[in-house]
Amino acid sequence: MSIFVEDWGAVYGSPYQIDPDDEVVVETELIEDGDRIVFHEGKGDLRPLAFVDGVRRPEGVLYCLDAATGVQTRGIAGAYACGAVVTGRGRPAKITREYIERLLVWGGGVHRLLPDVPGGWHWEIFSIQETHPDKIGQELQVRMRKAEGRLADELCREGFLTLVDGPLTFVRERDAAVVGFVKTHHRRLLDLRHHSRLPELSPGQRTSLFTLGKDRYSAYLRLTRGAPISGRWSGIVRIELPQAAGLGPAIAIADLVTSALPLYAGVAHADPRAPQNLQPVGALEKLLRRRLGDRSMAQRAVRDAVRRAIARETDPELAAPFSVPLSMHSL
Amino acid sequence: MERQTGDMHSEKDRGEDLGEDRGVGKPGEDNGLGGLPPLAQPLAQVHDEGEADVSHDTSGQDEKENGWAYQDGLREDFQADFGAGFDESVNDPLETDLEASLLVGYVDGAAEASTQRFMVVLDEKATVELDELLVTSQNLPDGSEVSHFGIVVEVTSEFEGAEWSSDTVRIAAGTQPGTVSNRVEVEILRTLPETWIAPQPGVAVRRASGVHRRHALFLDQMEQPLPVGLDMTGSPVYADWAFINGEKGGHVNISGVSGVATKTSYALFLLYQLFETPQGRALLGVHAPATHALVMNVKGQDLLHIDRGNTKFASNAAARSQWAALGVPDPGPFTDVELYAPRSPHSVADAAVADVPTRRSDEVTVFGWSPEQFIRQGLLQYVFGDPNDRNNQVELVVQRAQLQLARWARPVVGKPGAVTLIAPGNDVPMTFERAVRLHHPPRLAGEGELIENWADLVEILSEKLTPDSPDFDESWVAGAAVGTLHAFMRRLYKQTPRMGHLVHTSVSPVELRRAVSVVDIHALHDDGQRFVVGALLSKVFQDSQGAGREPLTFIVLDELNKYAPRMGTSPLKEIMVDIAARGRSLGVILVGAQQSAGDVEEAVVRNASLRVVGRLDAGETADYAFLTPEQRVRASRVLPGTMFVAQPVVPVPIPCRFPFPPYATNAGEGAPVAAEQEAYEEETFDRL
Repeated sequence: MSIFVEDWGAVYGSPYQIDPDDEVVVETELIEDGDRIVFHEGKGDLRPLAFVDGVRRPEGVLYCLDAATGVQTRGIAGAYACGAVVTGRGRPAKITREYIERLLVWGGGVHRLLPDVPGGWHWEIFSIQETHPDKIGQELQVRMRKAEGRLADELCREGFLTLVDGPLTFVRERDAAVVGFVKTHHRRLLDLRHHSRLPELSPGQRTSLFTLGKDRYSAYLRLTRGAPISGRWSGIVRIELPQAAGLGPAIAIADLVTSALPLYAGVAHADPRAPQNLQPVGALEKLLRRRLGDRSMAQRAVRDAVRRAIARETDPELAAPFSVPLSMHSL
Repeated sequence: MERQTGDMHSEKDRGEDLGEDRGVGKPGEDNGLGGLPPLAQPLAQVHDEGEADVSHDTSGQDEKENGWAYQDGLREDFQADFGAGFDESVNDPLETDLEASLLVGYVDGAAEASTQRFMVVLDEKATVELDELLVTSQNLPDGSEVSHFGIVVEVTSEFEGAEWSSDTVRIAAGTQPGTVSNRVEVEILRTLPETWIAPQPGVAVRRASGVHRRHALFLDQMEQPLPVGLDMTGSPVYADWAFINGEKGGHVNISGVSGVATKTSYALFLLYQLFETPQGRALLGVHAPATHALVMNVKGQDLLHIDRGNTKFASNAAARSQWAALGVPDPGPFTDVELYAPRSPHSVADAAVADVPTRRSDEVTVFGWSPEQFIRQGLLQYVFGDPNDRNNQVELVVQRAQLQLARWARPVVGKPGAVTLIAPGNDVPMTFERAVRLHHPPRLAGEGELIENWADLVEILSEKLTPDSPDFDESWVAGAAVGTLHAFMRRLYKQTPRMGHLVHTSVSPVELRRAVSVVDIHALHDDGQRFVVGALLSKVFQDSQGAGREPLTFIVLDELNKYAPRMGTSPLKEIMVDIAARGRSLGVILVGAQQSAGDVEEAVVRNASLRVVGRLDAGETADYAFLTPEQRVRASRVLPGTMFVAQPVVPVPIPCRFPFPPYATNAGEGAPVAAEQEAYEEETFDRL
């Protein structure tokens, strides 16, 4: 009996969450090499790559009380940012197309505006019918994913081989060179006999492509060989490719990605989710978090906005636009 | 702007992001952030579906047929991200726009800006060096504009986004994103109008050129600018003449290690500006013809050739254009110079020969003092100039001997310069100043004891002051003890070989007849040098009393530490301090130099308005508080010819260079005319 340690920092959980008893629930079928699983070396000329990712942050929980009915509804104010790292052989990796949106999502169909706060604080208002706090929080995530998808589509159209963080769910550009990059393995996708062979992948190798549902191909690949103390699944990620472009192009792109990605593997001392969290993605996330602005300033802005909203109802003069945050007057 | 920051959006679109990130924006107000690269790109303009299909088709085809080819979208993206080098075909109209070409970056909001200093984040296309002058303007809430002018004191560069040293390798390899962040630190020279606020983060910073440069260097405040060098870009830097000529301030002090020969060179450069250029003559005004400079040559025979052209000047292409930049299109040697050299100690009895092998004897005036001048000018006190050899009792004897010499001395018929000592009557006053005011008729040599040279003088003093001598005279000793008298004589004998040859009837005094008088003292013993300097300065200072400030007399003197050391006291040091304190109102301007200001009497250094610092010894830099910390460090390694020029109106010393001299600064550079050379060779041959 051997013991190993997960490469990821413990607060990030484990990238391998598959239980031995799990059954395959998604419809998959090995397609590249018949019903066999073959390990293919990555190959192909490196071409300009774009890595797309986003970050999000809840910044305040709000309540809206309907005085007539006594019904209280929740809202979550927050922000997300997404952007891309473009890179190519011999070129510096650059962060580009950063996009930031600050928003307030109300549950229960409420649509209540939040006044702007000096300093550039403005919230786009969205509303969903659900009322559960988790569902409201998820809307922030969904909007971020959609923005990532739009950015990925755009970069694909411009000719980048685009890697999107996570599955291809929100990418519409299905017949272009777009690849979903999945770090965490939630459920088993192949027969146990195939699945059990996956840790045998060497760095820079991928498995045969298999279909995933009716619109995607997928394959496992290994970024790096783990240390002797690392688990057998260390450094194994899964990629997703759209079926729309056809199997041939998908194979070519999979080969290319397989040869390219080990270069970008995250570095253990710099990233607690290395090696799966790629270097460009790690740096992008760090920058996007900074772009979201100071966390405590954001929380103060939400409070100011609510204070303004209340003041507007009770004392219109207080609600006039101040050149300094209202909190400074009232504190 | 659009191209430099291609992945940015316009401020109008997302001004709030800007404020949010930097915490400075105020909606609805012009916050002066115009031109700041906004931080985020909205996707709104990116997902235009109509265009999408078209470009997608193209992209697919290209990819299949040509392998990988850059499509337009990608090209633009790389252009925006990787700079202009990616595509040289683009002709940017902004390049010709003056404002844009002067833009170098933005006041850094991530570092604190103060009324003294601020950081500038450089635009990726801008290169800014140390010592460049920058300007930044901001609008105040009341609508007025404030400009900060400053000088770059440090330049830094790093990978933004690199947290570990090893990230550098990954960023360089292109696997991890990171951008080069170039920043410069600026020390503020001036705020206009004088408003004590800090530059606002995010406002554009430009190179100060034209009127901005004039403001940065306070040229608009100088009624009479004197060029004091060229800045690192080759443009002239000026000092206010009113702070040199004694009007508002005076004196120049130059520091620098020896061996790089920049101190005296710089002093000569200033003199050249004043005496040999029309602009300089204009500053001197109506008094120009009567303005003189007394230059002490303390090292080698370097300054004995400034009246000759420099043979190396012609081959120095840069020098001519540098002089031209200073408004001197055709520089040449000093035109009105008299060279003085001391009488050689090896001169035969009555002859006066100078000891200057590199110049013909008729080019040099042999200087010294006749016994009459020595006595009437009261120079005996300067014979004992070593501050480390002071003795109050001996001093009393010196005073008394000096007084009695003045009272007893009478001119001699037929022997100009000699004196004969005759006991005075009671009507001759007992104070030196009154005694020398009397003019006596000449007497015959045999009437008293004849003094024609130093040896005669020493002999007579020895007779008068030695108690067991038959001529011992109580009135010459002022009640001093025998030991004190011996001490005096001992000192007098000691000085005889050091400066005795300078006192002789055959020599002429130094007179400031020409614009520049160079007095060579390099071969003299330290005590001899101190005697000459003391004697000359006391004469210059006495002559200037009550004569008004102008015409000016400049005194160029290196090795101030020898004449006005910080420790000890001497009559010479007292004169130096007096000149430093009062000289400027009397028109005596000291252009002094020393290796280290810390070795020189504080009052002498402190009174100089223009303070110039060249290369310093690393250990000495602490004495120069007026330099910025960065300049203090740099001063220990600047190249010869780079000087930091500090002056009262400009709060930060400006690093300057001065051009290669058109006049010879040593014998080798001298360009004798053919006839001169021939005559010189002939004379040398004759001597053999």
